Amino acid sequence: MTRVTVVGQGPAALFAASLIREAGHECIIVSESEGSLPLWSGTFDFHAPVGDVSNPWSLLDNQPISLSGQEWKSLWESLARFEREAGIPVPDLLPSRGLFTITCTGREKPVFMVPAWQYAQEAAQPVWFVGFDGLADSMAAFQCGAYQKHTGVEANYCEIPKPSKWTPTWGAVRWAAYVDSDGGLDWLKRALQKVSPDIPPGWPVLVPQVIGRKFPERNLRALQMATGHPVFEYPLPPPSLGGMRIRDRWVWNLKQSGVQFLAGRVTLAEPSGQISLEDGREWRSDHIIVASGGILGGGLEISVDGKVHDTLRKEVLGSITVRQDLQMQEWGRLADDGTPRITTCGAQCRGWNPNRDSNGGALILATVFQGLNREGLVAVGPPGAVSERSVSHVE
Amino acid sequence: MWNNDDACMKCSICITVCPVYGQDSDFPGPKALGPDWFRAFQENPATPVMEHVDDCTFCQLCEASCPVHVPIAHLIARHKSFKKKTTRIALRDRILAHPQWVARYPHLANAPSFLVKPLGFGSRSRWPRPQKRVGRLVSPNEPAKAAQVIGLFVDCYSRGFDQDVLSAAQALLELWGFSVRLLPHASHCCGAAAYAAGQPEEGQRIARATYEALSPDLAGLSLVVTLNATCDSTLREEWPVYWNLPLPVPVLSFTEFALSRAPESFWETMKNQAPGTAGTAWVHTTCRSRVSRGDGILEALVQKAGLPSVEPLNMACCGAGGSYAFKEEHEDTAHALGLVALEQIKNPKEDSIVVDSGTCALHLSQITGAAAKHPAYWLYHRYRSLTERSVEIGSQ
Amino acid sequence: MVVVIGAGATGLGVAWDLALRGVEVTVIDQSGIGFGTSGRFHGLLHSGARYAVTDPTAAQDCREENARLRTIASGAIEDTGGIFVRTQDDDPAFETAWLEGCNRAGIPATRLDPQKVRMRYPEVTGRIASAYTVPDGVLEGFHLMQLVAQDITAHQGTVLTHHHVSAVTTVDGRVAGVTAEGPGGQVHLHCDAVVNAAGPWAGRVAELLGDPIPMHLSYGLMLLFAQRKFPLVINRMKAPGDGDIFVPHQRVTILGTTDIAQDSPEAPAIVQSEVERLMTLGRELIPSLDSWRVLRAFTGVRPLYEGETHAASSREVSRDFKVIDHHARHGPAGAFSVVGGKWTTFRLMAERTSDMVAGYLKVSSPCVTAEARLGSPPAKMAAPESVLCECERVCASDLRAVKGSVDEWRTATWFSMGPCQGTFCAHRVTALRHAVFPEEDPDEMIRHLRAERAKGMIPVLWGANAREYALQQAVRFQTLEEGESL
Repeated sequence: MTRVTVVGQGPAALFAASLIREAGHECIIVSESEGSLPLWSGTFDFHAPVGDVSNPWSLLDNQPISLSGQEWKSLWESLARFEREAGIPVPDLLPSRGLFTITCTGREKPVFMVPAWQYAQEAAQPVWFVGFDGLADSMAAFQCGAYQKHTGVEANYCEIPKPSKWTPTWGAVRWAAYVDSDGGLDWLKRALQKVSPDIPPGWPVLVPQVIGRKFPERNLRALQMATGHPVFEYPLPPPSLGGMRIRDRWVWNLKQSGVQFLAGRVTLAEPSGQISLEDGREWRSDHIIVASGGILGGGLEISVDGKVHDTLRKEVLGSITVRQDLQMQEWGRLADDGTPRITTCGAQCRGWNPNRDSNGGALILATVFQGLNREGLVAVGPPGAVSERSVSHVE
Repeated sequence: MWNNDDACMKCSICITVCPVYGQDSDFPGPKALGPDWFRAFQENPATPVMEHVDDCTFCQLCEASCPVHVPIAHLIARHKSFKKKTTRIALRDRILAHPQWVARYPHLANAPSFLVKPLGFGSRSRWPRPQKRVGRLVSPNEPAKAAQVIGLFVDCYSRGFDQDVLSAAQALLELWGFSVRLLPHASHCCGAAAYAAGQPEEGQRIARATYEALSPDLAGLSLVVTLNATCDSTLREEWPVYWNLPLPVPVLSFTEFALSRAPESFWETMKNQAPGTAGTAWVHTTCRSRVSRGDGILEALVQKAGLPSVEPLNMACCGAGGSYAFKEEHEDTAHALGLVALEQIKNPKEDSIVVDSGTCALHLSQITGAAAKHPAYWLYHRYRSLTERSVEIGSQ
Repeated sequence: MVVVIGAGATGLGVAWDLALRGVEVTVIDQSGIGFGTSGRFHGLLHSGARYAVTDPTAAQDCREENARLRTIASGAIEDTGGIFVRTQDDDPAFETAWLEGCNRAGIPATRLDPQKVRMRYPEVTGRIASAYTVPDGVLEGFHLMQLVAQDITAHQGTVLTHHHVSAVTTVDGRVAGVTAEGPGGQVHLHCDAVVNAAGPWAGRVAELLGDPIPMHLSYGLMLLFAQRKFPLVINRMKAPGDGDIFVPHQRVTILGTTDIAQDSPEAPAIVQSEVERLMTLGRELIPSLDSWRVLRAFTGVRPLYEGETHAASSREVSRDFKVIDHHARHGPAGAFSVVGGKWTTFRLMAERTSDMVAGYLKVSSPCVTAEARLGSPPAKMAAPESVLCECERVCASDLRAVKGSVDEWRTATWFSMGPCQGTFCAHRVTALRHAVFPEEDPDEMIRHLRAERAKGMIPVLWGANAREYALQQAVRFQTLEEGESL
């Protein structure tokens, strides 16, 4: 049996692990901290600021890694399959158009693969925002005003008062635990029932993404019943319940399928397949997939002199530009760069800029696929040349 | 003493892994109790102690999750040390911070509850009962030849209450061809209990005494094997990093030792026969074990040993937290955390729980009704039943 | 009626002094209180020991004012104390001269056992040759300026911020009024005298007075670290130079500073090589400095007065101050400028300036600021409401209690200035601000708050700060969709 070690525990690592398991290989995940999923709402984004955004497949050419339409489709389907297997409610069919969710600041944010609990729309529609008093990131009045201003579409909002158990220590995770409890769900149902007569028929009701950690589907259904309106969540800044739920379910699914999740800092990854941890553990793998997340995740470190260090391979990749923004996407390696048995995927790869292009989901799928494909671990869709190109974004 | 104590990015990932934060609606969470408190404390040493700091179980999951390696749990332990306690609670915590005392006189745990309740001991968590030692194992194939000498760290709990586990582990190690030296000779504690209870200095003092008691016995040892995950990670992390007590001999958990060093013949015996029972073997990797080594190792052992239908338990911290569950103010949280296991284990009469900590085993078996024991115990009994059967078969 | 131009420490000090003498005053500033040099310093309340050798007058002034401010503004001053450390690489002869200078200026310097210093502060270099305690302190500049401004208002004075002085009018060679442009249009203030306390902009204001003065502008670079690493000020004992001081300022530590001549009064953009040089110098005192979590870099412009001589470098220009009566030179009667000096000596500068102004106005009441008491800044509300800025524990009610722009909310509460540098609070505060002041453009405001933070973070992108910045970028552009990223 082929043994593959994946370094990292974020979305790229989990996607890689799922593909590796599906292909029938042994997979070990090793990570020095938690993956980044709880930082984000857990949508996988696929968008480009240019081109016909009404049709995501027309955007293929704008991605830094060129894959055929069939390969893209097959990758998105794999992702959806893995999420569904883990119990994450993603739609059966891939979206046929670009989607937008609404931020807590009332902005439209491009998304693609969105779990059913989160709001997403193809074009701006009238919505009803709900703010929770005592939840700092829910700012319904502001959100509603900004949404109307930026879309020109009608919207309205209400604020519901704090529950009696509330204390100033309540962050999103605490709210979610409360809504999971019988008392909490009851409180929320009552509060929404009070305002539901004011909500125009057909308008979706958008609530902050704290509608449970374990039972968001059940809770949202109950709210929908109580109000007679479709109820969805809008995403919040970290810690994000959307990402947490996906992490909790996906990691658990992988653990049940026999994937080990080792805790430890990788101090060395060698082309021979040798992995060494700080605590002295060592083992040999047939392949090493590095998905440790670049600067944010810890795969790269920057020293005072501005040098960018690859901590696994003990190399200096370059220096950050003087008084320039942190161009972290500059510092990745291409998936087939260097050694044949170590391949990098996820945020370290050059040419992707999810901050600019809202293509974080595509980045994960494409770089993981490219890496695993070059290692000969997976083949998705019909065989075809996978090529890289220099980035040619329209600025 | 600290590294990265100022590195917090406020990302709140620690909050997403904290078992208590989701359970106790007044608990401020690891970020507020650790790095946020410490930053205020650095400015003003008279910074008030946060009321619920004691509710932290010291599972260290927060610390393990931190992308910038803030020693969150250790900062919280420091924070706890400033908490003022009433005399009765201080006395109780002094006793619980010194499990080596209890281990010397385990029958103290039989004290009736009307005697201990006034000290702040809870009534929900039952006390452990001392267990009897088990006999040696004999290999049906070849006699064991004592070659390498292995140290077996006798933690307080195993010494006082789990002699069955301790003797089972010893018997297995001897069966595998190792000569076993039990250490330390007298009852000592690694210091984890005091550290978890917010007495880091006392923990260090206890650990130093243990270190000194261990040191003469380490000569000629190739390895020290631990049974309890908390002691294991305390010896490997707190001792060298926080207390400047580096052991000259590597430390390895029983689970990892068994996986890497038990002879093939043993696994063949274990695997090549049908499982003894129909129930599921639920594996709970304790929080401390997950933090220092990871998930899936215990499952690998149990699987390799041929135990029936192995399932991991989906839970973070069971709530036992060493002595945490015994404290009146924590028993509700401890119980609520443990209920997660009850939701999963549907056939407690047939199912069993494999867990690498005595207090967690006690707590889980109380809550679920399933027998919960250390892997050494399960391995021992499976081997014994298999070999006795084969001896019986052979003699027929 | 006197108009004071510049609402920094000096201008507020002058207005306060005059107001307490019963003079009607208006302080006018082109931006907010303390947005120039007074809000951009390392927070040191000088004992005077820094200038013991090179600038005896400044040393003595600092010593006396240090003692006075501790009673006048105890709520804005922290009596940390400080130490001077000479390393084995520093000139021993300087130590002798320094001790003599301290002695002459009356600065108590007590010798410490270097071993004990090392034991107590293990992060300080092991190469300590000698160490002394001095009565340094820490001055919370924004709080002190707020307290002074409050007392001015309490004495019928006015503080007019966000007004840019465009002209000073004279009648018969005497100052008669000031014209200023503000958000509500042009404002004319009649006055009998004008005091130019515009700090680095003093040269420009002097031009409006028709009597240019020679300023020597230089800027200092400072680095801000996330935690208070020492309970006291740590100075390196050598001639005043770069990277020789660590100040524990509330919850942060500030490493100062550099000294680079420049022409503009605006705080300049930060040069990466200067940051690295400051780190190199700081490391000589604190070898483990690289492991400290850096938050940001900032610069402040020193408005030194060159006088009639030309110094070779700004380190040689006196930290002493100068009050100029423009009528004695080429300007109108009733026009005065106060230049140079130190934050620590702001009260003394104000006293000397006000004495001169009072003489001109024939006001006989004496200066009473040395006996005044300013009380304490308002305590944070412990309201049962959600926290908007978790790093500095700021709630909506804390912000609503502050008058002024969003930047004044920031400097009064420190929101967005802690370890997350606004990552998790800038949008929350923008929403609150929008609720209170619906006429302000929230898109512009969040851009402004983000740019303000990025400016200081980008020059120090290493270690955990680089990760924080990466996180901030992702939150801004992937979670909040704040618009085009860089």
